[in-house]
Amino acid sequence: MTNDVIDFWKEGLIPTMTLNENCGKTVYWQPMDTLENFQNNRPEGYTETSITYSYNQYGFRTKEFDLTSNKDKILCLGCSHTEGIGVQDPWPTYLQEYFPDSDVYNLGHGGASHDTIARILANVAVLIKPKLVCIFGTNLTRFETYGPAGPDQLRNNGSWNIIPGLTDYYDDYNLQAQFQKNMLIVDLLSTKYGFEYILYKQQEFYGHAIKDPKLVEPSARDCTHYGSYTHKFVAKEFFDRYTRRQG
Amino acid sequence: MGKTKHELKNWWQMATLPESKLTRPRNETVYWSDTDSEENFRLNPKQGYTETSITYEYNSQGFRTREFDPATNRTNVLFFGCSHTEGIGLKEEDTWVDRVSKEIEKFQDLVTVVPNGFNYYNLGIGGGSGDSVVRNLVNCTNHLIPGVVFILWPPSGRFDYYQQDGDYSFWDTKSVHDLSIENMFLYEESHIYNNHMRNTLIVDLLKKMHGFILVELSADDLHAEFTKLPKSLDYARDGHWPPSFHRYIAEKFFGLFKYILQQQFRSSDSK
Repeated sequence: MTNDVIDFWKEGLIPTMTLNENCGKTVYWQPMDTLENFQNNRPEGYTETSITYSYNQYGFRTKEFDLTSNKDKILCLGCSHTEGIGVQDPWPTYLQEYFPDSDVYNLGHGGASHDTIARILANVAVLIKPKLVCIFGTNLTRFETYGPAGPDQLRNNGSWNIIPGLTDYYDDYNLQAQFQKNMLIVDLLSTKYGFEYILYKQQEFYGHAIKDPKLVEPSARDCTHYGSYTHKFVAKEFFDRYTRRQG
Repeated sequence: MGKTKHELKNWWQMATLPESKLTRPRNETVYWSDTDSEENFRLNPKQGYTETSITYEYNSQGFRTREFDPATNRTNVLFFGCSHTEGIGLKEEDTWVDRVSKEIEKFQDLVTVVPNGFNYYNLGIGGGSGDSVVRNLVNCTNHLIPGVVFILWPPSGRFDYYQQDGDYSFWDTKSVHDLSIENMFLYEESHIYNNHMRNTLIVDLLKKMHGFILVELSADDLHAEFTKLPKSLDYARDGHWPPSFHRYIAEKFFGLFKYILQQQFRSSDSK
């Protein structure tokens, strides 16, 4: 095994270098939410400085992890809709309002697959020991691949780079099986560390959007992602599910 | 036969019995299996073997093992791996699985710890991948509760894929034989390694949950050792490792098993 091969699935490892080049930084734009895009579209209600993306030292758009705190910890996992591309306040921020006595951490990552979600949870569960994990499911056609050191060391694959030779990977059965495997990992981690988890599947969200089409309006600043109306709805959905579960 | 009728089968659930490949017979005893074919034997006959010298007895789930008994109060010893574990090309008594099982039976130190004795199940599948090993272990955990798990990790660069035939779903393996320009990144060292680490994470989590003893070796490492050994004088009926190498593997596995047991006893003594 060569030295540049990393065990990305290791418990206790937070692979900062692969998550985000903005670790510990605050920036105004992101690859989809660009200044150029903004100048072309001039979306209503946004300015060039109305969104700040503040990343903690590990590259997550959240506050620094406080491992000494006695507060209950809630982890939010998902893709760019969780990271909050194009909005100032993603759904984990609203979820924090429902749980004022807990620390809510946003571990969303643009382009994430269920591989990413299971992997990040495996990495951090042992460190953060969450009480609750909220997963906003992503697209089943996404998956991770791992390459040698360099830009493809940890790659997210999805609709943006459909690979013609991988028809088996995009087959419904394979996608479903990979999803099942990742959720099994979440389930086993939940048993090991004693946290509860709530999965809000993408299909369930689309089901809600049929009744309320405003949920899928691309009203974020990048004119692609969902706006604050949707983020408030998602936070409430997680809270309602949690409340129902508590009986 | 061997197909499971489910629109979207949950392959990774813990509440089912493992299922072998479609190509394996169910509830049947046959003289040939997988690469150990009659045609292969006629073209390349091996000393010491006849056309009927090997019998493959498959249970109702397509494994070369006894019928599963989920209701037993005996401790289950599960063996996972690929064709080297299934014992393709070998009589059952020549496989490392059978040898380790017999060593455990004779191991007096275990009699007081496991008063009801053991049930041994060979869950090796020719062409199996690390994915299929772990998936079958996951399937076992609530029905065929593991007490001891032996894993001979299949050659790296293999992975599961799932298919549909009408209303039925089944699984098979992709390997480097399926390598193409478009999918070559799946065979990157780093990708194979991380797929393995994801699988071993699942095994570790199951081990913590169920407290089973885990003993593992890798076919890649063993193959490297095999190529360095003096050429053996015995053979499998096809091109697989010979009985003498299975004896070597069994000794390694049993040695590791005893070492792990000693560590556990020592650890519980000091508490």
